[in-house]
Amino acid sequence: MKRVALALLCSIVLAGCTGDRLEGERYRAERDLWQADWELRNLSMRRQDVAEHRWIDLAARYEAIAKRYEPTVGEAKDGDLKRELQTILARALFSAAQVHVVLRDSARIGTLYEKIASGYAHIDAIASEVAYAQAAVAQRRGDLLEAANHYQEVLAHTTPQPGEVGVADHVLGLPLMIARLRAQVAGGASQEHYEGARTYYERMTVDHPGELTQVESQTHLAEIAADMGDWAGAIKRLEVLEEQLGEMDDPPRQPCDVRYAIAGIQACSGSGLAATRATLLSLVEDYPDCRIKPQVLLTLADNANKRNQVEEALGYLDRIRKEHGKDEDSAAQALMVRGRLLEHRGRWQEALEAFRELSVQYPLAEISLSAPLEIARHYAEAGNREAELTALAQAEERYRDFIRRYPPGRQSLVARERLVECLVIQQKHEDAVSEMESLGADLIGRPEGVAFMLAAARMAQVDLADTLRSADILERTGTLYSETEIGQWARAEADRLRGEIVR
Amino acid sequence: MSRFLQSLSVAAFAWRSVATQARRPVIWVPFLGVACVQGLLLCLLVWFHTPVLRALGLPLVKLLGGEGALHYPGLFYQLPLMFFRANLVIGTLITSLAGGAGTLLFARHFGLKDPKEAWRQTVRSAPTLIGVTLALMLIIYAISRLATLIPLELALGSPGVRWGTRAAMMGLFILIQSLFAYSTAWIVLMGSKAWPAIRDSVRVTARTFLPTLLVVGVPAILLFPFSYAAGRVDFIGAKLRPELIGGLLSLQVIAHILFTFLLVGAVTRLFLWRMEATR
Repeated sequence: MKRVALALLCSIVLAGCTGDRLEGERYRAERDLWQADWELRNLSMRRQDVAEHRWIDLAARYEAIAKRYEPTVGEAKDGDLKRELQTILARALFSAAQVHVVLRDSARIGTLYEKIASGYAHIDAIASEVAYAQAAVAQRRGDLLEAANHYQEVLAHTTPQPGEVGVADHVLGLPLMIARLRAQVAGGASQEHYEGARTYYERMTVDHPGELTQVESQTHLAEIAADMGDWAGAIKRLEVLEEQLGEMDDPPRQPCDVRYAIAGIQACSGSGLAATRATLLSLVEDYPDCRIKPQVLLTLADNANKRNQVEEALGYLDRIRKEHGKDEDSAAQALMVRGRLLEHRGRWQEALEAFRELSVQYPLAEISLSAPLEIARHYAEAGNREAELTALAQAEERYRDFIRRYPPGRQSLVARERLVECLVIQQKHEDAVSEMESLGADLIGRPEGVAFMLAAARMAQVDLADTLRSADILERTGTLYSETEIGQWARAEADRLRGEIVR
Repeated sequence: MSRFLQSLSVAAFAWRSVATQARRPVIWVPFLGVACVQGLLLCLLVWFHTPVLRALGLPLVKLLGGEGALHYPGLFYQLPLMFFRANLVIGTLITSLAGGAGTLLFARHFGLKDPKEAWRQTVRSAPTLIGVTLALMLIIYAISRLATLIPLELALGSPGVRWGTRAAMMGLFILIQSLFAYSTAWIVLMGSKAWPAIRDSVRVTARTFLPTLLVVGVPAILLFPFSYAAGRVDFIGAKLRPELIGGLLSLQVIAHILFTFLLVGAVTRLFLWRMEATR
């Protein structure tokens, strides 16, 4: 019995020595990456509450994964396992770069992309992701030609799969994007820029009958025609597409969306308001259950207003509230448009009624928060200073009440932004600076956040003549955005202002 | 109603008898043995990638879960299924013997046999115990395949159909287990062979139907939340942490010892009660 146990133990140890260590390593690398991704998801959900050092730690964590398993990749023989390990490492580096995007550390982003491009360019999925990200960076920088070249790289590595996760979902739009970027660089659209895109989409239309790829390709072909000023051609293509979608049992796109696009092209092409109106009316009649019907009715109202048919326009707006009252955003939008339209037509009492009704009927709709300021703006334009000040005081009270009453969230942020506007118009600079500072801190990581901080610093300096306070705000901006260029600029500016005070 | 209350009082009598024996460590030994084996198996599956366990764990994971289970978090999504498959073997080879030893130990403390004889008697009866358990496993497996006859679209589309199927399956499992419940007692206490043990078990169940159904059914229903949760690994993995699936199975192992202890003890008590009544 003892001998059997000993032999069993020996065989286990022996097998352990020869067992496939790399499969275990791959598992651990996948686990580490998954856990970092989990952290990334959690941080992304409450981005405004996350301190910068947590993003820095996360980026370092991703980079550490790549470093830790690099020797393992070196040990692996060529084959699926090696490829899988490489993909994991490249994904870790790519995610690190994505975190640096949040930190706006463009130098580190560039280094990481170069590292991925040099080490893992042979993996199509990775090469596409990197090229796509590089294109976005180049586009933001204004280097349109480089962006177009990177998009071209994505196109070479990836098969379009609309509706899928990742770059594959965006690929179908790229040929048109490349054509537009190249046309923009050249200073005007020409056949030459769009030829490649047109060939690509025509091939996709033939190769993927009845699929979303075909539908999207046909839409892009219509867009190409529109870009070239061939309005009739664009409309013709969309009409064919609408007919095809109508014949499908389960169309990948709703035919009413295509009809709406036709109306859009008619409006751009100068076909006349009557032709656009006829298309929109036929849409409402032919597709009574269309999900974009409130939007269509809004467009009809705009069309009627342009034709000076005010009552007809008001009729469409009332119809939105009557037929889509449960869709609070659409109903509120309709009421806001009604108020603006009536104000524009000199029917202020009715407009005022609409603006007031907005706050009462749809208090939580984002657009309703603009109503009190609309009232104040009207009095300002009418030169009635007293009424304007009263309206502004009421607006301030309403925003403060809203912020007190509702929990922090998207709406309360909008209310705070409106409150800042209201305070600035009332020239309550002290309160406005405090509110902007607080908003800037709450919106950390977003462009609006830094914009509020800088506006607060400027107002402190210019309107309050408080240079020290301005320097303090800039110093805080520098700390909150230390990894970014704007953060570094803010810190330098704070030092400069302090230097001026000393002198 | 009075018949049900009477049956309930018989089942309660059996559970009370088990409760009085719960403080005797020796009776727990076979059940803890099974738990140890299940715990080791779980460790082997969850930590297959560590250098110490890789030699055994990696081929085992590949065998039970396929290539997909060698990845993270795929391993945890496959874990309940792998554990279930491994448990079929453990159940047949080890739990059946532990059940035999447990029955003998309970019987001794209920006043029937010498505990020193328990292990020897179990080893002697091992082939019969394993054979009967194998038959029970095959029947249960065949029943579980019945659920696949319901069209997937129908099950996915209606919670009523899903829960109805679960309830019907549970009812069938309890019924089959109830019919086999006394076979271990017949084998280890009366020295019966496989077929007579099953036949006589069915007879005892028929005569003690409702109490047996309660004694078998209550632990099975109490264990249901664990098996239900193990079936929702996609939710646990996506919303919480995949590792929680391993934690859930560990809890299931612990719950399993407690309920098996209760089941074996109560069935032994009912068996002895019925034998005394027959004499």
